[in-house]
Amino acid sequence: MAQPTRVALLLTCLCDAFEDGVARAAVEVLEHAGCEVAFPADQTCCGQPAYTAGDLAAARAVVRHALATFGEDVPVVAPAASCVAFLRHAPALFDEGSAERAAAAALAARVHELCEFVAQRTGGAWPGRLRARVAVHRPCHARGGGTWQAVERLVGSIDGVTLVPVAESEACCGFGGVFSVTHPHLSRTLGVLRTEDLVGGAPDVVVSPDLSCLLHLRGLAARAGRPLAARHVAELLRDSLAGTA
Amino acid sequence: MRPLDVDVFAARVAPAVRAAVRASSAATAAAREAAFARDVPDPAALRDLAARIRAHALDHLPELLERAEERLTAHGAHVHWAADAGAARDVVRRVFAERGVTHVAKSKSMATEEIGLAAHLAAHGITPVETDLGEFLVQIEGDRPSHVVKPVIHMDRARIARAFERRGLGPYDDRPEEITRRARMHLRGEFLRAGGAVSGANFLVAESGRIVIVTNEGNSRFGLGAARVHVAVVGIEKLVPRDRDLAVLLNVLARSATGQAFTSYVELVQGPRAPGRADGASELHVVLLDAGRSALLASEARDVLRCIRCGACMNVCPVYRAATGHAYPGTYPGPLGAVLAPHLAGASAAATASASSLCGACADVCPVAIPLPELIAAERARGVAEGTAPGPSLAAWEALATRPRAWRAALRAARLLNAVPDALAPHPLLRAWLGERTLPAWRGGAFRDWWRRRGDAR
Amino acid sequence: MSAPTADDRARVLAAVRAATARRRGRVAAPVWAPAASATGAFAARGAEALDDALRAAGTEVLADALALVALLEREGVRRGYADPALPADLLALLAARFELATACPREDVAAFEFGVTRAAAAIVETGSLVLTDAVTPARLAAVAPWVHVAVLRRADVYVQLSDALDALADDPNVVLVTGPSRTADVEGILVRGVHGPGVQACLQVP
Repeated sequence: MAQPTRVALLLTCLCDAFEDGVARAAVEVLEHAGCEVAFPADQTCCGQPAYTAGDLAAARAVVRHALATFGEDVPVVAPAASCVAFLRHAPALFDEGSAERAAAAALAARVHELCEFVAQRTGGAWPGRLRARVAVHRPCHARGGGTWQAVERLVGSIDGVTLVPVAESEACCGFGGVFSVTHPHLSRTLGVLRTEDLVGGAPDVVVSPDLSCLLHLRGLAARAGRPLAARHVAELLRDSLAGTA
Repeated sequence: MRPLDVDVFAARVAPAVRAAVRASSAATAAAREAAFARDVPDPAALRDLAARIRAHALDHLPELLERAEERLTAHGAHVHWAADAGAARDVVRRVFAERGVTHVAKSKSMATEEIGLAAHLAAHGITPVETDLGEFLVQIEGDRPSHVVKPVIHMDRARIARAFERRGLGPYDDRPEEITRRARMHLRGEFLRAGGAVSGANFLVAESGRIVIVTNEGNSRFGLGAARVHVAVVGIEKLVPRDRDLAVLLNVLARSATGQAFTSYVELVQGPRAPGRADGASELHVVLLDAGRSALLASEARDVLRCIRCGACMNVCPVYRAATGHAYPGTYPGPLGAVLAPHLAGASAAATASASSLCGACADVCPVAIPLPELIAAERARGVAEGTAPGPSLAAWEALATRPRAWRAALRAARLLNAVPDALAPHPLLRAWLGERTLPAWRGGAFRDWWRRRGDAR
Repeated sequence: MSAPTADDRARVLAAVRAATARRRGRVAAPVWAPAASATGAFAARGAEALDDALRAAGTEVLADALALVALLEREGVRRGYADPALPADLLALLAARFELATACPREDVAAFEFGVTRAAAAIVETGSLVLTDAVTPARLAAVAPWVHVAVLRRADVYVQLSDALDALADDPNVVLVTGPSRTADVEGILVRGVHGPGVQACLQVP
């Protein structure tokens, strides 16, 4: 890791609005992994909310904006499995053979979820130290892309961390974008079931590479008066570095 | 925001029913996974092959349909075409009525469920008896199936035992063995009384004209062996080119549907019984049913026609498990229903496509690689575009997300919401969210401030 | 509600043609070697794995005629059907111990407790017995009684399902029988013997 690799941070709208701490942790994790982080300030959102709401015209408009913002040909890294999965799907929103589809495909090919990107650079190891029992929530949008495997390899390699098995390991948390408000009963039911499985092994903390799941699960738990100790994986990775200092 | 229909239904599902559906779905999903791990050296390759067989068949449907018709006719079967459900019901009823058939033994068939055949026959003096145990229970309970493979996944043994008792099939006894034994004895009489048999078909082979009917119970075998007239209602999408293609499809069907390596009875029917034989129907009628399928084939959702009705997508679907099958309008529940209902169950069912968190579990298990989440999202978008299922408005969000300066300003301004009580949240989506959940404090722009300060410090 | 007419054929075919004609790059017919579709543990071992495959599917394997008699006695069945085309010594053995009929008429089917028929073939990959109308015309005798025994010639074995399907001759009704009749409709609990046999067996003869 002699020469720093330049990467662009995809902040995500949730980090922009609520969780600046997660984004700061992501920056620090990337820098620790030998990256030089750039932040294109004109970025807004990836466009996924409109896609899940069925408003494809709005989704395309916002993807176009993302294509313009992330035009520099460097890896784009996001602390969000969901936004990454959406941008990988985005080419399908444009007509076959169109220039936009080609641009979207080019971005799709260089967009990475944080842990996936870091694990690739570090061979799956993370040099932190932290005594904790950790349960990993595997977001649906980490399916197939190798994301949750990277998360579990990195977290599992932290000195002192014990990964706690989770029943129904790939079950959905019930967020689902606009589904969470059009289907409030189902969304809550799925969230409660997911939480039961996540805390079933009595972990100290639940981590996830996706803030949207966490916002939903923590929000439900807090509303029910039983706060859930859940953090974004970037925060856990960053904090574990303090243990080695 | 008003919750949508599937959610309203889900909120009323009895906890015991939900638990039963969830447990059974999970058990079958686990059995499916184990069966593929145990028996299939390269599941991805087999799935790709199955998907290509089905995709090829759909791309060549006109030729395959004509070939199957020609083969069936050559073997002495009568082939009828039905453009819609009404036409299909009419032809089945007329075949039986003209031959004086008053009782028919029905095998499990989603196509006949879809066209409401049993009720139609009953209304015209022809008594249909469901012979699959699950469908028999649905019939005597005046219910409807809640799963494409396990019609009574929502009934526990106590309800089943009570249904049998009411039906006069003996005093209450909820042991599965006893329930099954009583069904055997009772339905035996019905098989022998029935002059006609109605079935669907899992597949129709073009090169041989063979109708393929798959059962574990043996009910179709019994019904077809005992009846004089057999009518099979076959969706036009069920075609496969060659007999050998069945080797792939039957292998993935059994494992995907129940986790069994193979189904107990795979029946291949090519025509009426040969002259001089004692058993089997002397007439075979095949009704080729369109009822929306050709329109589906012309639509963006065409890939859903690859479906072989294994039910694996609903077994893994978190929404299906929690809402249960009756939450969905139309014949097909789960992710399959979320795509099919807007096409087959009428415009009022357009919102069904919103009943999905788009989690993708269904796509992982589909044996013919139907991109279900993409199709569900596309149906949702169609409902929005055509105004049949409008979603929440994202116009304001779009305006901000395409204008960086406005976006930054709005996020900063949103910090003011920290001082606003939840009930007064300024957007219906936000209010709906806050009805079930809290939100963390708004910190719009905080990262950007940190980033700028950090840059200044360096 | 429209009545079905010859028009329906034209309408459906025209609609299907229109829907497929617009497709560019239609998917070609997949070509694959039988091995590519092979599943399960048995096909790789060839014909000698048949007994294991049948047993795995829930079919009892009978070594000889005496084992058949023992099975029928174990199940306590008395009255049954036997295909008159079966070997004479087997028929004689059964006739000496059981109430045996060589026809199984529809009206009397309830009285039959076992059926002994011939099978056209067996398939190692799936552990299936192939009953064709040509070889097993007594369809009800093979499905209605509690016990069904299929008599199979050892030479009539296909290793793979795709080969067995390829080799099917025209026949109004073929059934692949893979184990006994079963259901899991009541709370997912497996019960054998719903409408078909609760006991499925295979006797192999040279």
